Amino acid sequence: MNQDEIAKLNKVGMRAAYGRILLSLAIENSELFAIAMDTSTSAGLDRFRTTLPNQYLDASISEQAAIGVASGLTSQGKTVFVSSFAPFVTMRVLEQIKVNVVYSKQPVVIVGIASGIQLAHLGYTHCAIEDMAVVSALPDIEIHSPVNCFDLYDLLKELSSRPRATYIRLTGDNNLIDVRDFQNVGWRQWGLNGNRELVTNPKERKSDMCVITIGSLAELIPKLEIELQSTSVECDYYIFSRIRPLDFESVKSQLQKYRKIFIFEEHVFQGGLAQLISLLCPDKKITSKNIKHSYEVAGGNYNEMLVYQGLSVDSLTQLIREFFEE
Amino acid sequence: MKEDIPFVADQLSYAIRDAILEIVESSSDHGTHIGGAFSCADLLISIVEANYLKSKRTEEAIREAWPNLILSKGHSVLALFALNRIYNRLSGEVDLHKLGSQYLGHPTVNSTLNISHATGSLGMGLGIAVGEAIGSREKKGEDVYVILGDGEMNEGSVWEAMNIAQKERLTNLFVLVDFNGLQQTGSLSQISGVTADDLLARCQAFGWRTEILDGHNIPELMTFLMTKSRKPSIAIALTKKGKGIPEIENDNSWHHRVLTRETIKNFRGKLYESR
Repeated sequence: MNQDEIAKLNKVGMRAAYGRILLSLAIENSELFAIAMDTSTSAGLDRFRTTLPNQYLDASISEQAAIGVASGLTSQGKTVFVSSFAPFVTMRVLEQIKVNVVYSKQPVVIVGIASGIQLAHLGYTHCAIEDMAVVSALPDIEIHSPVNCFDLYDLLKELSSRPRATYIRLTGDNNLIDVRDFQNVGWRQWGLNGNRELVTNPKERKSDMCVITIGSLAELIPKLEIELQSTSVECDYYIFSRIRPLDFESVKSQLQKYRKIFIFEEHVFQGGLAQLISLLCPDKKITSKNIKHSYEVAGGNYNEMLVYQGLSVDSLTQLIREFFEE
Repeated sequence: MKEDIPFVADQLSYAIRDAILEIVESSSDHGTHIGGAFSCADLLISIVEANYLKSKRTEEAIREAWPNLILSKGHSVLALFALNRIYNRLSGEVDLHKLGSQYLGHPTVNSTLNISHATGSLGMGLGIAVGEAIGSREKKGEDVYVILGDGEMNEGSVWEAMNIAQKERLTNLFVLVDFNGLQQTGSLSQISGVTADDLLARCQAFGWRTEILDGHNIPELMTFLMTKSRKPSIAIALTKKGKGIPEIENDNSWHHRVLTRETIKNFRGKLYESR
């Protein structure tokens, strides 16, 4: 896939892009195997199903067995990507991930589609606001939250050639931000632990505050920057695309120069990036905006739920400004 | 497996049980799942022997003659260690249960013993085996074997995997259910409300080739394992918990128990006399 093709995928969102990217990789790698659980269309895998039926398994709505099947396939030398809606491939099968994948040292890649609150209208059965927390309870499994389809493509391509136990949470809607827009405003690769994180610091400001996010909510950063600059709030911005592995010393070193750190993410505080940064930087003044730790209020479309959760540009601008002025 | 090992079912049956006791005697003062290890011992021998004969008949030798085997009822791991012992794949003292050991109360990944996955949390082995069977079905002559516990059939994940296996028509998948009729805290009928005939009917309904067999009749089990079908195969193998030592047979207090050295010596003597 070339950059233009990936850019087009940003318009359909990561969960539809996932299957299309995987198909492009599987055509070049006959050992690559995709498992769905009656979720082929939901994960953009329908074309994969019809194009490469011998590299595809619909494990039916049998999540526990599907993780076992995936680990059996990897032990036979296959490179296996197994996907379903995020709650069903994390919490529902956590013990299978523990025993069949991690404890058994099997390099299964687990992909949780429609993570976060994208499916708020379906209720919290179909939301995953704590999936990183749940999976991070286990050792020796990577946890990624790609920013957009460029990120996703790079990650899937890398894992297809060097598979390892991994959880990928796919968040966000369609029309994801194009990484090239970041570059246009001065974003650059941050050479932190494999340079998969991005940082902006275009003017080498001397701000003592930074704003950090993870995953597809990064699309709010350029808008936040404009809003905050208009009120003379200057800060640096960081985007993470994973919480594990992370080079803790490098993160601490990078954030050392700031007095205040503001973090927002589509995940509860517990087990998310905000808690991780708080633990890494105990001497900093840190505040965060996370998904509420509650299942009380659901419903609405994705944007409405983001607004309800305080994860809109307006809400975040106000919070960050107040934090800056403290 | 070495070609010069004679196939003498009774001798192998004795040897694996004696090896179980020898491993416990030499290395552990913890409790062990002795009853279930004795009930599935002949199933394990049958798998090794059947697989050996099958592999000899294929033109392309598989990796080795050792079977691709998942002991899903992982608490019977002593029988798996003993199986490797009697086929000369596990030598020296086994540091059973010791800090840092690979030889614990349930299987862990062990390349020496060809253990590809940890088991012990019940209901997981069949799903793994389904994946291995899908991954190896294009490799001629490479079958996958699973031993499930009868109580383990309570687990819903077993039936998830049963369904995927029939859907994928995994003719290279062979399952033996160690039907000793006793779960940890009582009989299968008390705890699960299930008989062997019930299980047979359920497995048939799931589209599997199904039989009820004598789980201590090695030739009968081998015949089942060497018969190809257009379906995945499962046998309800009727066994006795503690089989081989009359005073513990069908006594569920021997599900998990500490064996004193004196008891082990006594049992090994009785096993020897009953050869």
